[in-house]
Amino acid sequence: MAKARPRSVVSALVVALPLLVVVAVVVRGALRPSDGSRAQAEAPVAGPLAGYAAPQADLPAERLHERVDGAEEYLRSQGCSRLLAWDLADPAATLEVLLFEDPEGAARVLSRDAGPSRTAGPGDEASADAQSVLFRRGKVYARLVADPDSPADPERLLAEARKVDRMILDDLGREM
Amino acid sequence: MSGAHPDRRRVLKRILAAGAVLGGAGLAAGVAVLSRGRWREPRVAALPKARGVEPDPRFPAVAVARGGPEASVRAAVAAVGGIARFVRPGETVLVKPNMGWDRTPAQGANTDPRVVAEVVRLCLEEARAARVVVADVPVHDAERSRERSGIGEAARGAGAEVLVPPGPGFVLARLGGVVLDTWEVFAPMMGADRLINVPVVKDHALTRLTCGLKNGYGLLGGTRARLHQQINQSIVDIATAFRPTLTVVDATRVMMRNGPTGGRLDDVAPVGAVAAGTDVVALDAWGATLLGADPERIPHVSLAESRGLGRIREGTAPREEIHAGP
Repeated sequence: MAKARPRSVVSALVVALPLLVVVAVVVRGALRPSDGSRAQAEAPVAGPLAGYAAPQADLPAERLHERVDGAEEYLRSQGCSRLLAWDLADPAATLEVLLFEDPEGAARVLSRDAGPSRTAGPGDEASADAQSVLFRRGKVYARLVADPDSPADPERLLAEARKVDRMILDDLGREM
Repeated sequence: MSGAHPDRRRVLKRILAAGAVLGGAGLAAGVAVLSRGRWREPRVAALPKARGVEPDPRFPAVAVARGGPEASVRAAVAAVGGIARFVRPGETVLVKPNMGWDRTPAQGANTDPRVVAEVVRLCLEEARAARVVVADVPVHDAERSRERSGIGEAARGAGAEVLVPPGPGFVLARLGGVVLDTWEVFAPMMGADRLINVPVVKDHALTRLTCGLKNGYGLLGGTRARLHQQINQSIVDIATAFRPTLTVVDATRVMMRNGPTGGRLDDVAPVGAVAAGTDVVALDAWGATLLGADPERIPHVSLAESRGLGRIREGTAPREEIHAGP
């Protein structure tokens, strides 16, 4: 009997080993999040501008390609750390808010988009026309672009941009 | 104590039996999990071959027409041999526009829907194709991009099926490129007899130009941004693998700055032209000139030429443009 016990234990282990392996794989798979849930876990917190619903896109630097396919390297090189986007219904427009590491990076991207001229508008500097308002507030750069299929209302667009500027100051001030 | 041994032996035997049953079940489950493909060697499909046409010296490699979008498509395609040179009756045609962006036609980020619809009509009505599928894998939300681009409605109205992901899904395909060996390809690509590439010309932050060569990107799945590390070689790999039968370039409106996303109408110029041809390098070279860029200095265009995909000179040489009418 003194010999039988170790042999039985070894036999039991040999038989149970595959089961243990399968259990380990299943448990590991259950604990590891799927791509979708991982993306969700990495995404920054929702609702960064309290006046709007959760954005359609809220992307950290490494996922900028999901919105700006091809322009992400340029934005990252300028220090872009996060991009938020909303499709607005009234006015019908797209709003993109980009956060940078410093105001200089945000200013360079504004200059690339709008050229050197500036107009009256919200933020520290702005470039507005009938269809769009681009502006920078500190290290936050915002692009509000009206849907061309909707009736143009530059005043309404400018008013919305000023509202966005206030929300940036109130809600993203800690990041500026 | 002597009576306890048989009991212990019996208990051990039962434990062993239970272990064997559970172990067997575990093994079976393991095999089942493995066979679902998580660790199994994935099957790699081959891309369809011979979608191109033989060169014909009677026709130019590139023809440019100016006028209304529909008339320009008809005139440009007629000048390079007519749609019947490229599509046979009863065939399935995949039309690949740029439909990647949640943008309206006026913003110039996507192929003009009128151009796409006219290509569909040519295939169905003149060439008598059995089936035309318009497909793309958008960057922005797929359904919004399909509808806001206007392509969904226009192409359906012309008689095509319009597919975006998830749709029929993706197939792992062998591209056989320098940096792209295998990659996920949108399934409609695999079943088509002919591929008609219908890009829009526009600025691109990373590659300066996006036109015919880069448009193939939009048939790939997976994390395409990974390809941006070797963007020029990737573009040429894709163009080499896909080899469109015909390319019809939309330059109705050209996004001159802030591409590929754009959005501002100020960035868009009304060019009012369409080019068609079989030389995608020449067509890209022509597109580059619209942006005021030297195609020789656009790495993916010059690389494509060096890989034998076409000739820049064919796109930049002076040509007589066709006045297509409104």
